[in-house]
Amino acid sequence: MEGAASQVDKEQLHSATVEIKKLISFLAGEQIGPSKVICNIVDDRMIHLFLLHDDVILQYFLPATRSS
Amino acid sequence: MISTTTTTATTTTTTTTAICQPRTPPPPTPTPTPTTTTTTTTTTTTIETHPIISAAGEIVVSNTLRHTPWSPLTLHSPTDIIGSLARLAKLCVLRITRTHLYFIINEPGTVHRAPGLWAELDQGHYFSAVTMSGVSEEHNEIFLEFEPDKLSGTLSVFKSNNIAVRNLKIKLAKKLAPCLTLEMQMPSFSEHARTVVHDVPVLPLPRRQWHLYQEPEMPHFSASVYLPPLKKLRHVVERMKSLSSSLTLAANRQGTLVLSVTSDAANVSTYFRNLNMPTWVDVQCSSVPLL
Repeated sequence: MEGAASQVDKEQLHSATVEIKKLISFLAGEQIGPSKVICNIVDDRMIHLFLLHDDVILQYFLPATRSS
Repeated sequence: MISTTTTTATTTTTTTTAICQPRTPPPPTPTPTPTTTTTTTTTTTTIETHPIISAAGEIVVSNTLRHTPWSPLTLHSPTDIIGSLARLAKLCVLRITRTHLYFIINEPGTVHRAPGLWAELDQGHYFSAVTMSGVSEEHNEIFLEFEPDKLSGTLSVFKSNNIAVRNLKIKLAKKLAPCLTLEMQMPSFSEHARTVVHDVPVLPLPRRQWHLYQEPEMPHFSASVYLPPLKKLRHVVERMKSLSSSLTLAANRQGTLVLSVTSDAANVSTYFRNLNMPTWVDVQCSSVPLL
C-alpha cells in the first residue's frame, strides 16, 4: 500500500506559472554552452534555474505570476 | 611590502592560479612592478581612495582592486554572462571578494528585493593575479553597481577570434567618477605596445546597502529535474509565446517536465519524459547538486 502511495506521490506534478518573456530571455541569453541546467519548482511560487558550468554557478529566479 | 603583483603569465597559457594578497596600507607613491618582458606588463597604477559619503554620514573609504592579466582564452564565459546580464536588466551589481566575483540582479518591484539572478565566478579560474582590499579586513568586499550593457560592449572584443588580446587588466580607479578601467594589450607589429583603455562608470555601494545583495537561499522546491537541451526548449517556448503571455512549468519526481500554455482557443502542453534528476546533498546547511 505504501509503495502505491509513494508511486502516486512521485507522479504528482508540481507547477508554477511564469511570464513567458522572462523564460525566453533566460533561454536566449544562455550561451555558456552545453552545460547542465537544473530546473527546480517551488509550487505556485517560483521557478529556480540552476546552472553549473566550469567555475561558474548561475541561478535564475523566476517568480510565479499567479497560481494556476 | 607594497601591494604589487608580478605575474609571469604568458598569454598563451591558461593560468588558473590566483594570487590573493593580504591587505596592505596603500603605498605613498605607487611603485611600478618590474616587468620582465613586454607581454607581462604588470604595472601598478594609482588607486586613489574614493570616499563615499552616504546620506547617513557613514564613510566607506578606499575600495581598491587590482586585477592583473586575464587570460583571454578563458574569457568567453564571463563575456557571455555579462552579455546575458545586459539582456536581463539595465543595472547590475558586481560583488567582489578575494576568491569570487558575483553578478547580481534583483527583481525590480519586489518588497524584499528578491533576487532575479545570481552568478558566481571563481576568480582563480579567470585571473592569474588578484589584488583587492575592501572597506576593512572583516568586511573585505566591494559592491559596485554598473550598467552591464556598457561592460558588455567593451568585452565584446573577446568574442571575435581574430583579435588576440594579449592580456587584460581590470582596475577600480577614480577618474572623473569611479570607474572600472579595462586595459587591454593588443597585438602590435612594431616594438611599441598597443594598449586600449576602456572606462566603465560604476557606483560603489555603501555598506548599508550590502544586505540587499546577499546570497539567496536555496528555495524549498517540490520537484527538481535536468532541463532538456536548451535549444530544443527554446524552440518550444517561442512557439508557445504566440498563444499566451504566461507559461506553466510542471515537473514530477519521475523526470517528467510539462510546459503548458492556455489560451481561449486551446490548451497546449509539451511533455518531456525520462529526464535525469539531480541528487541534492546538504553541505553546511545549503544544498548543492551532486553532479
